[in-house]
Amino acid sequence: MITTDHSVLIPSDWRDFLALTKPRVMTLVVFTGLCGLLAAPGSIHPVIGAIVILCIAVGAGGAAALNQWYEAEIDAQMKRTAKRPIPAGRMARTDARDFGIALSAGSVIVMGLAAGWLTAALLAVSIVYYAVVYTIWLKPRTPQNIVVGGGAGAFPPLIGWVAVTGDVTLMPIVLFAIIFMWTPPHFWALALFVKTDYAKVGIPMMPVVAGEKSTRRQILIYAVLLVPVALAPWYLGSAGLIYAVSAALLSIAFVALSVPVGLRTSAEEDAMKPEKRLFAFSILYLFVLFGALVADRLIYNAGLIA
Amino acid sequence: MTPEDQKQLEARRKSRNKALGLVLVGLVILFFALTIVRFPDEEDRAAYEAELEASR
Repeated sequence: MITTDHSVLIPSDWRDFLALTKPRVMTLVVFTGLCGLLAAPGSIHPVIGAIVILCIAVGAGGAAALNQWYEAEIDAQMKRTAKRPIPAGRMARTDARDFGIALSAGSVIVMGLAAGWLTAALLAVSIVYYAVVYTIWLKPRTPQNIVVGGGAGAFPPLIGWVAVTGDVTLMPIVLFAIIFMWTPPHFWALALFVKTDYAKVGIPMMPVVAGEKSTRRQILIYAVLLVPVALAPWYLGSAGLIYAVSAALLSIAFVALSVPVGLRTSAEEDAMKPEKRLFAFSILYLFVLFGALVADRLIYNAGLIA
Repeated sequence: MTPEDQKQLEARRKSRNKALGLVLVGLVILFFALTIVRFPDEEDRAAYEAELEASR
């Protein structure tokens, strides 16, 4: 049993607490948050900027810990997650909960003191959204859970941007929308070629519930819907030519890779090459797109392009 | 509890205390830096005064 606390005799190693924060997910969170911060018009003191990024990362870590506290029993039954600290019996469940709450509350308070309470409120909303709305409420209930979960991953650039400008305008919402639209094709491409045990534990993942054909069609739909959203910073006038060209090229490639995935059906013992290619490219896509947004702003600020 | 368990427990406790110590030192540095950066200078005070005047 993993739910009884006395099963953990030895106090958990600090590395287990670190593992609880999902450090690998955090790198993407830190990157997109930093891009939002750097792409925003105006300036922020570097110390405050660093604290904002730290708070986004720690808040994400707290949310991840709460996620694992809640899903311990599900994690124990899936091969991919069975070695996490709680299901492996290296940590008491309540320790993970308390750790998650401490990180979440701490990051929100420090964020409020450093960058103002609007930014802190957005961070708090993002943590509650991931830990409660997604993990507890919608993930076990709807096959659109990845769409919902994408919302949680979409907060960092918005928070980074608002930390600089002090108000929520259209641009940070566009950045939010980009990651929101990007997540479903990104994740479902992975879900098509990685056989997971989600069905066993009753999590309604799209390929399991709606079937492969429907999932493929929806990958294509989201990939197409992503195009106008990715180009929005340019036609809204918040980004220049460097971003426009990068976004256009990336969008063409993304749709081009999504078409074969969206229209084909896999055979028995399929190598799933197009799906793997789309998944790998989707990661590159996000990094380059946000990188281009920052490059665009920095070059504009340097006065190289009027 | 075997002596080995006892030994491991003590080693864990020690490394956890060290990690927590580092976090606390980090927080001290963080709040110190934040205080210095956000401490109002002449300009901030003038802006605040102007705001008070305007609201009167």
